[in-house]
Amino acid sequence: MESILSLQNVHKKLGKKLAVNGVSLDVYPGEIYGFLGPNGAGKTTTIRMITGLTKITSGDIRIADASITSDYKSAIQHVGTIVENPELYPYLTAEKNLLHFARMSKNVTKEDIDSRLKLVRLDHVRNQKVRKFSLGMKQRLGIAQALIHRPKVLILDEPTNGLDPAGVREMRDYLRKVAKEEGVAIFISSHLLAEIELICDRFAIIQEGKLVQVERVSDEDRPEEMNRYQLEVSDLAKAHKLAVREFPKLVIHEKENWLHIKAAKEQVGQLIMFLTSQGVMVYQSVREKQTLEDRFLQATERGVS
Amino acid sequence: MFLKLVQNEWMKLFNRTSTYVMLGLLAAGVLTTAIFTYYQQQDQQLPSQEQWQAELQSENETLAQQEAETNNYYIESDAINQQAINNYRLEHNLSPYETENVWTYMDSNTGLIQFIGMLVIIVAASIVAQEFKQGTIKLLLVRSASRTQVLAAKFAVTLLFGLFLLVSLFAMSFAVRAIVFGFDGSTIHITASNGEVIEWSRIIYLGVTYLAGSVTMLMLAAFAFMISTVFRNDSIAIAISVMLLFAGTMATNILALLTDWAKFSLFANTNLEQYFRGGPMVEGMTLGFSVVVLVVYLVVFLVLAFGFFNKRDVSI
Ligand SMILES: Nc1ncnc2c1ncn2[C@@H]1O[C@H](COP(=O)(O)OP(=O)(O)OP(=O)(O)O)[C@@H](O)[C@H]1O
Ligand SMILES: [Mg+2]
Repeated sequence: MESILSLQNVHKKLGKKLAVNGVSLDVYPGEIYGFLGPNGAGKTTTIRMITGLTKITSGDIRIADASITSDYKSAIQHVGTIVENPELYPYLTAEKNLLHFARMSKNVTKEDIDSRLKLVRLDHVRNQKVRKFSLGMKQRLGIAQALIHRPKVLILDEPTNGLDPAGVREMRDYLRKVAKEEGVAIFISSHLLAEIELICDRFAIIQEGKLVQVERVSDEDRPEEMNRYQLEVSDLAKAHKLAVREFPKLVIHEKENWLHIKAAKEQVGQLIMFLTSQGVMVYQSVREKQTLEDRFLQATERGVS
Repeated sequence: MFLKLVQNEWMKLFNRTSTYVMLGLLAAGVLTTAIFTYYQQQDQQLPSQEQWQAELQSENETLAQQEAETNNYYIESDAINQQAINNYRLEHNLSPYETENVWTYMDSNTGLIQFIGMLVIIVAASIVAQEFKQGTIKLLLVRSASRTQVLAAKFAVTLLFGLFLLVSLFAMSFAVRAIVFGFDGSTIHITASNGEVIEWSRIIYLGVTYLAGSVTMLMLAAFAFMISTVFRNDSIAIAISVMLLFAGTMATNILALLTDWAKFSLFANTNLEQYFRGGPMVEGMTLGFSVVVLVVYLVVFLVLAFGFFNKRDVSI
């Protein structure tokens, strides 16, 4: 499949410092792509380049195969975005805000405005000025604004900033729906790991302008992937000794009455069979779910030190 | 696309409270001058024919003396022109005094053109800077419209708004005055340039005054627009431009006393009326010269505004 958004060795110099340093990544249609990084890592700067707000120092960004630098108009027409806060005109009503942005794109009809207002559940306040909206309502209107011209790529910078848990959940459901039903690729930056984990298919971690890691959120389900397991056994000391002798390559230790091992799925199965054959009962085996947070810290601690 | 952008800007302008405050102030200004002049003229006695003729003759003597003594071009030409007008009045028995009527009142309202100039400066300064302040500039620029189109639409709406205010002022003062004072009165207006007397139809003269006033407005609007686009700050743009609006002409007058270079100053050229009334500020200036100078200034302002707007990164 052709990627819809492609960053190719992108650099951005701000002052003397490289705020973005050689970032390359590809996002595919219908995919939700997380862009993680601590404060000041260069997320917003990257997003400003993708949307053409700032110029690229070197490298290229292509959207639907059009370069944002040399073919701005055909590239940008496929993009919908909220950069940082949902900035809308406070003195215009919800409907007029959408009308304003609808006029800036081709082929957006009155019906599109109506249906978007309904989708983000704002049709009951369509004639109210945005000044009176809560942050959650503004965020929803921001999303409606970003999707009004049916873009192929939706770019969101920290879209859940300041939302309460219910608001975050709602946003998540809505984004997932858009990605699935309309095939929109969503590129979403955040430093809130828990959120990204719940909606992203893939994610990249950026630190000090450099990509440190790109992964699938569900990588740990692959059979060859090494994960942490905990076993509850009838005789901990005996089990430990047997395991170390039989599987010398694995990292095995005791902790709080559990046997901890780091192994692939297959190896854990073999270990359990071996232990039971040696008369050790295995009550349960639990895979420690490594959170995105663990991976995030793992990936970034090299840089922090 | 461009027309839709203009439509958008107009919609935004007319959904803001400040725009209606401006229109309200303008209406209040028109009413205030109407009431003021109405009470002033109630106990007004027009001088008799002998009185005003004697007055003009003695004025002429003072002017003739001034003309002989001064070596300042501006004062001299003013004295010559005023004498020409006075002689013309004496010959044709046209009193310089008249009861208040729709025309004299509309004359006095031309002061409100300067007020309109201020309002247009405020709009010109805020129409770009506000988008940066609110952060909406980001949403405006990440659409298929080019930056040039976005900025051009904003400048067009600023000028349209100025035109709208001028037409409103003209219509409002005409209506108020026709009701309060009636149409009686002289239908001609007399001016002089280079000692030549020009007799105007009153309505045409008013039209020219409004048009000439709007040249200053156009130039300062372009200036405020440029400053606010370059600095992305409306307060600076408003402060500098309004100061120039009120003090620019005076400063240029002072400069004109010192050097001929004053003729290249913006304000020596904005008042195109000078070529029909009183003659130019500096010797040797012509209407064509002024038009060229104005066009050069306008181009410089716009090139700066568009250049900065197109080139610079948006990082808010
Ligand atoms: N105009 C500027 N001039 C110089 N340096 C800048 C400028 N803007 C940002 N930076 C620097 O560039 C780096 C990246 O900033 P950026 O805003 O992209 O980070 P971010 O990942 O979005 O952070 P956050 O999570 O806080 O939003 C920061 O170190 C910042 O200090
Ligand atoms: Mg940021």
